[in-house]
Amino acid sequence: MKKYLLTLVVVFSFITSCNDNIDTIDTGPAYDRESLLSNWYNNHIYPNYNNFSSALSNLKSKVDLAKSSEGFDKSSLSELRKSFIETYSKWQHVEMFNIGKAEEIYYNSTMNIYPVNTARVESNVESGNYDLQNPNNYAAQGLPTLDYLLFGIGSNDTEVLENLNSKYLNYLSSVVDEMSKNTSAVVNDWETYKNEFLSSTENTATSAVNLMVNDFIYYYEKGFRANKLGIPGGVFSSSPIPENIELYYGMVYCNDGCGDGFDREDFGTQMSSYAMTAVRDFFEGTNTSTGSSYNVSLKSILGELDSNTGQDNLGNRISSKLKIASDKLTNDIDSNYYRQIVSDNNKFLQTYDAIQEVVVLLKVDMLQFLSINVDYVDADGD
Amino acid sequence: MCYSIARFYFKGWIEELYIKPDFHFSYYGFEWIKPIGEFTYLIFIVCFISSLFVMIGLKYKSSIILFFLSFTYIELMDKTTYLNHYYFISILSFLLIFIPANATFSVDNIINQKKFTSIPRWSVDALKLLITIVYLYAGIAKVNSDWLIEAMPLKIWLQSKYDLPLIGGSLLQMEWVHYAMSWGGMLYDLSIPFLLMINKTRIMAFILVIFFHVFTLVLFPIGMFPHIMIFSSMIFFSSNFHEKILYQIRRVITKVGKKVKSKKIHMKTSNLYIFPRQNLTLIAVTSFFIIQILLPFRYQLYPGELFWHEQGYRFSWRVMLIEKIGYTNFKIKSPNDGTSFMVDSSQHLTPFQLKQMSFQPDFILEFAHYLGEKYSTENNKVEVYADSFVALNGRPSKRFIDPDINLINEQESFKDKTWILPLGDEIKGI
Repeated sequence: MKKYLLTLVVVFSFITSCNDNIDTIDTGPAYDRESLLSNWYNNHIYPNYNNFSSALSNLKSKVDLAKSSEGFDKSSLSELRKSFIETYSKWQHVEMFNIGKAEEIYYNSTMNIYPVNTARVESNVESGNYDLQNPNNYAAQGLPTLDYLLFGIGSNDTEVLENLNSKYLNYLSSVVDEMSKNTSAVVNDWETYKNEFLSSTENTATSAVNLMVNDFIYYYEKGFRANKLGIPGGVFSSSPIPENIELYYGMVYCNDGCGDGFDREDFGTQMSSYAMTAVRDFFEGTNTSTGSSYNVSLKSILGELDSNTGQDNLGNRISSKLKIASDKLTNDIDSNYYRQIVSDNNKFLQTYDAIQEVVVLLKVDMLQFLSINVDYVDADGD
Repeated sequence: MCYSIARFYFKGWIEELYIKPDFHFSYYGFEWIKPIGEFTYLIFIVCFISSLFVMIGLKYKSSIILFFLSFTYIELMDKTTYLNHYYFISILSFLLIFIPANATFSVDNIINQKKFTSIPRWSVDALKLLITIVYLYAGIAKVNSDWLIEAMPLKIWLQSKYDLPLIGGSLLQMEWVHYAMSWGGMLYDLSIPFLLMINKTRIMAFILVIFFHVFTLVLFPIGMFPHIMIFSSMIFFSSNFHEKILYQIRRVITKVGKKVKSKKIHMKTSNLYIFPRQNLTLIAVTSFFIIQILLPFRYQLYPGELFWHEQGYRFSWRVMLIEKIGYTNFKIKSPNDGTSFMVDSSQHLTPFQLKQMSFQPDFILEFAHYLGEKYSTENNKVEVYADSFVALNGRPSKRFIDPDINLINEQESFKDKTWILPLGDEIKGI
């Protein structure tokens, strides 16, 4: 009797007191959180941030050059715009990673808050006195503000050039410098943060796995679905707000063609398409840069955890709905969202609906299998 | 309970759960019970002090009544925080009002200079009966096809505990373990009250109680529940056993007391505690138990799957029984011009409230009415529609609420909520 009691007590206290990460027995790739994290880092975080960083450097060098010489001319403006579009498209592949340094310095808020607060931009330019780190200036910096400075300050190239060179050049430079500084901070921090990241496999609210999944869902629901389509399409307001689309100034400016070899088709759908590609690649386990697939991804994990097979398996269901939404995005609507919303918003909303359907599968079905809480709720259950 | 209240305070939950939120989900019929701003702390202080008094047996009758009232008030303030073990404390403290817990070894004995050596047997049996009811019904609730045949929701919950040392990556991932724990949990609940009652099996049973509750504490975030169940099951032990414990405590107190100058305490010892109005008391206690026994079966009055529509789910010891996730948004429609928009619910509810609201129809209805009031004006009474999807125990998500029903026209009542869409699946069981 006593021996029995003693054994129970010993086994029990052992279980409840052990805190270190003992190597778990590998029961298959499905439960391999370490691979998940390393795949995410090696196939998405590291290459995508590098690509974005290079594109941004390229952009910055053009601005620096113009600032140190006579400013821009038609040709260098056109080059700058191309570089800007290139940078914006690379951005679409990193916006979903709001973790580590990026989270700490509100990186996403400094890079892509739109619509632009043009009044704020103007007053900053007028006074020459501003602190871009102040949250009040989030909507007056970053990529959307570049959009404004390159396409919104004049109704044709001559006007834009004149205003840019005479009035806005300093501000343009400041904004780009700030973006560079923040991007460097994030990219450099990853060099050391990655060790913590790659080993953070616990099922707690602050573990890397949980944060990444939550970030991914949040990005899909807010950054992608709501910001790019929902809000402009009027889902969250009584009527559509086409002025709130991403790249608004570029779209309106290039509505009837931008001329000078700069294709208006370079806008619009492509931004959302890049974002959609980023989403699908992340979910399905594809390295966007190389195009090759890897084994352990959210889709593969769901493949194991969901006992349904074939098309009924949750991983496949999410994939096919993502494909449907992606096709609608590419084929059903005008690449110029402003034009689409103004002419036929219902069609625009149908694409939104297709994107929305995936949200339920991610937030309800996927989270159910992963047993990850959506938000950190500190309370008892029962 | 003293510890529980203190813990609640130190975790900052009083502020976070009762003072900060703009809106609280209320219980049907108790909508008038609300937090009172910063004074809500007062209710907790009253609760804390009264639990302290009950513990030492000071002014027992008034203290236990005060504790019951303050604790129940706290629980009635917001349905979001409903927990079965809080309900247990409420009814237990209600029952304790009728039980002479201060008959011996209490400060009241010192004050009244009177103590008793025995109390009527039914007062101890009543407490045992209450605990038996809790376990039995918890066990009965587990007799359903999801729990026993699909090993749901334990399969999901155990698999997610992959980071627990030793067992996380191995044992907890295995299917037979999920079934063993589902069946084991059900059998434990149904048998433990009887194992505790029988003399021969009592010690084994108590060890099992400790093991079971500590194990669940490690696995799940269930707060004070295990502690409450472990200590309350001690009521099954004989009075001899408790006398031994009290003797040990007395020794400690007198050792400490020797250092302090103390008066000799004179006490008259009576044999049997006699209730002043025993018949009335018995009627009250009996009615209490009749309600407790019948209440969990009220779900039979509603059509459809209980786990899905949750009408009659609460107050029935359905503990850690289902895994349910919801995603519910609201569309506000303006009848004047036909425009509509989706509401950002996080503007009005805390993450905890959002989570609870997303899969419980009574919450959805109450919140819909709140939104209706918020967004309506004199000339424009808006319509509110729910876009809601819920997944239950590992099933694929399904639309939960009829999206075409204007919830403003629906009222909370005991009647069936016809606007809840059917599960389309059958869960067999009691």
